[in-house]
Parts: sequence; C-alpha cells; structure tokens
Amino acid sequence: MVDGISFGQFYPVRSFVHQMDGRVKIVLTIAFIVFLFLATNAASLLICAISLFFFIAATRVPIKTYLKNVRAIIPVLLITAAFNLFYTDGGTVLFKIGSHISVTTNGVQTALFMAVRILLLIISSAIMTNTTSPTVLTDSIESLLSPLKWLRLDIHSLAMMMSIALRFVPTLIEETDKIMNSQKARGADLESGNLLRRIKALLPILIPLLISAFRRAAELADAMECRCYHGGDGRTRLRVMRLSWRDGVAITVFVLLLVGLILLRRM
Amino acid sequence: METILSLQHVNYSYEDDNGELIPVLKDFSLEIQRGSFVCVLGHNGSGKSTLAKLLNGLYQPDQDSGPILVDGLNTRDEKNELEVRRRVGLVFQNPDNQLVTTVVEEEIAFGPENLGLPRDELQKRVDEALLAVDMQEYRNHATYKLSGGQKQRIAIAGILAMRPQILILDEPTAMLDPKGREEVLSAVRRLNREQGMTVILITHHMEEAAKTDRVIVMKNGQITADSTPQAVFSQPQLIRDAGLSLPQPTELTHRLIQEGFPIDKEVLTVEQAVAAISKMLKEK
Repeated sequence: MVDGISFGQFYPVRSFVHQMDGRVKIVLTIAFIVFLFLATNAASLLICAISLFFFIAATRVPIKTYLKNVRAIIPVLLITAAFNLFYTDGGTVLFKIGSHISVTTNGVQTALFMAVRILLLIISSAIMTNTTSPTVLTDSIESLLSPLKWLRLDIHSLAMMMSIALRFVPTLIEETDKIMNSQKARGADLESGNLLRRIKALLPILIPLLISAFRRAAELADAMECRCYHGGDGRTRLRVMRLSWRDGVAITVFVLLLVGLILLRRM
Repeated sequence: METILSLQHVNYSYEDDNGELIPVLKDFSLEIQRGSFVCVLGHNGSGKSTLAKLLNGLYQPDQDSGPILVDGLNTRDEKNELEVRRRVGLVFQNPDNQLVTTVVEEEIAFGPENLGLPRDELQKRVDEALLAVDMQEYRNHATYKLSGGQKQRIAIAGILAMRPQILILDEPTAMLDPKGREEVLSAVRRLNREQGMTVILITHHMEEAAKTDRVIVMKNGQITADSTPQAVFSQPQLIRDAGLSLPQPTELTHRLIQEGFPIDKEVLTVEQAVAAISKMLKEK
C-alpha cells in the first residue's frame, strides 16, 4: 500500500531553519550537495554529517519525519552501493565471486562513501522541503531565477507550477490508494505474477488517476481565476523575503565547512 | 431593496464535440437583492452551475444575450474582469481542488495577493477571514491535514479575504459528512445575518433550501419557481417535475394531507413537522 510518503511536505512549526530566507536555503542545499562530492575522505564526510546534524536539530521537525524521507530511498541506496562494491578495482582483494567479480578494500570504501553521500544528500534536501512552504519555495525560486526574465522566460508560471505539483502530492497519493482499493474490490490482481504482469496490472490504476488529475487541474484553474489570479504581474506577497541574522549564521557555518573540506583535501 | 445582481434575457450555449450548439440558459432573467440569502435548486444539468460561472465572468454569455450586471458592472466588459471576480466570490464543490497552497494563512492570502494589496492589509484580511469562519487557531496548519468541512471553510475564507459583495456557493456540502455540512452552513448563515453578505447557495439538498429567504427552482435552463421556501415546497408536483424530492418533513405532511388529515401545509423542518402533527392530534 501507498503509505504517507512525506517527502517534499512542509512541516509547519516555528524554528531557526523555518525562519531562514527561502533563497538562502535553496542555495545552501545546492552548495551542500556540491560539498558532498568534494568530500573524498572519511574525515571530510564526517564533518559534513556533523554540520547537517546541527541543522536537523535546528529545524524542530521530528526525527521520525526524516527517517520516513530516508526509508523511501533505501532501494536506490542499496543498488548504488552494490554496484560500487562489485565494480571498483584496486586495493587488496577480499574475496572473489566467480572469476570476474572481486570485492576489494577500495570497493568497500567507495560503496560506503557513496551510500553515505546519497543519504546526506536526501536528508539535506528534506531539510529544505520540510521547513519551506511551497509558497515560499515558489517565491524563492522565482526570485533566484529572476535574472532569466531577461531571456523572456516566464519564471513566475514555472515556479507556480512547481509549487502546485508539491501541493497535490498528498492528494494524489490518497487518490491512488482509493483507486487501488476499488480495483482490488473489482478483482484486480496487483501483487502476483512476474514483473511484466505487474506493470500491466498498474494500467487500470494509472489511467483513472491521470483522468482525475486532469479534472482536478481544470477545477483548480477555475478556482484560481475566481480568486483573481492573473499571473505574476502586480502580485504582492504576505511573506516578504528578507535576510536575517539566521541566514548570516547559516552562511558562516557553510563557509567554515568549506574551509574545513579544503584543508582536509590537502592532507 | 437594492438590486445587486441582474440578468436580463441571458442566453448561454456551448459547442459539443460535433460542433453543435447546445443551449444551457434560454432567455434567463433574474434579479437578486443586496443582503438576501437565495437558494438555487435544480437537478444535474439544470444549468445551475453554469449560472454561477456566468455571474462572476468565468463564462461569457452568447453574442445575442442580454447583459449580466454585477453591482452595475457588465461582466462582458473586459476591463471589469478582475473587479467582477473580486465582487462575486465563487466557492466550488470539492475543497481539495480549490486549495492552491499548503498553509492555511497563505491559502487565504492568495486572493488578496493577486489583487496586489500591501502587506499589512494582507495580514488584516487574513485575520478577518479566519475569524469569519471561526478557524483562528488553524492559521499555521497544513491544509491537507484538515477535515473536509474545515477545508471548505478555508476555501470560503480565501474568498472572503477579497471582500466580495456576493458569495456564491456551488454545492459546497456535496462532498462533506453531516458534521462538515453543518459547519459550513452555519458559517455561511452567520455571514449573511451578521455581515449582511448576499449569499447564493446552489444545492440539491432540500433541507439546506428550507432555511433561506428565497428559493429558485431551475429546470432545463429556466426558472420554474421563484418564491419563499414555504411557498415553493407547498407545491410538491413542481418540485418533482424539476427532478428533485421534497424535504422529508414536508414529504411526510403532504402524504398525511393526501390521506385526509387536517394538517398545516407549510412545514419545512423536523421541528415544524412535530409541532404541526401534535397540534392536529390535540384538535382531534
């Protein structure tokens, strides 16, 4: 069953990270992901993890929410780790499977590093989406991408589409659940047979879901027009984006982290 | 009383898949008074939802149609578009498909933000609208975690924050449980009574119609009855012709009358039915 996948869902409480500027959060999250790939040894990954831990603590979002976020990507994590484990050469050979595949110390190390990197990457983006409401996220993306307006790109609409997509995640999950149950009640078999059969069995779920998503979209468009939505022109905001001391603190932490990473890379 | 909405000989039709024109409203005329609570009843396909969308300019009447005037503004005039939509707030059936954001406060601010109001005014509007639907303590809640009735109240608050002159609700309780339905209806009734908001409630729940000032029955794009709830419901044949059924207490008293019992005809609610029947029994 589809259970409450909470990824990308805003968790409304007041905290240090919640009150940070959305734009800063987006930029720092991207910076953090870059840092993760700069970190090539255990010590540098460790300082990344520690700083991330401080940010988690500063969000006041229950750890449970993060565990849920992580649970969704465990398969990806395992597959990536397995590939790195079997396909990395060099170092001492630990043991061999058949004549071609050998597991080396380098392999174990790369696999572990990769797993940790993906884990930290997911958590860092979860921090951003858990603490930033879709409206603020939209406004921030719009503000960050505003230079592109010179190229006559409609940044406002793009950002609005993204935020609506996030808004409809829980609604569509609920809907999928309902459709699955009603197709099961009609005797649909969703859980047996080989992969191909199972994929075929998903069609009677995807089609009603798609049709209903279109209907919802049409209704939402009407409702938005009824509320005088006419694009980004002349629109004001309830939440005004302003940098505060919190953003300064966060940026300082990131600069220190970067310095640390550079030093550790030299060693 | 002052007329706030007027439709004069309005025609509306749409083109179907084969390019044929299907008429929905034919020579439709109607006037609504400021501050009144009007209920529009009709079966599916009677044109009642189309009427709602015509009133706020979401749909435009046919070329040969008479004008639709909202507070004197013609909905056909393009420069009136935003002002008409602001004055005529429209709430739809499914609350899930009307909410644009995930936080209550931001959701309510969406309309006023589109109007380009300054920030302190936005905050004032949000507070005012939350109070009107009695949801102050939910200001920072996630919209997707609310119950159906609460979501619909937030949808109404989102409209109220634009300070409309007229509130139109298109089957606002169709997807709600009895508790949610009562929450929404009592909020709407309070708005009409305390703030003098003009309300047009579109429904096919007879019980909801009973507590309004004026009931309009629609069938095939035309008005077949337009009077007080008592007068409309005392004509059972007319209600059945429109593909609707009477409120249960009214149905009961009508059947008793048919059986020859001397009972009061104008019964709408359970309380009135109890009173009428006990009165009849005492007199016997």
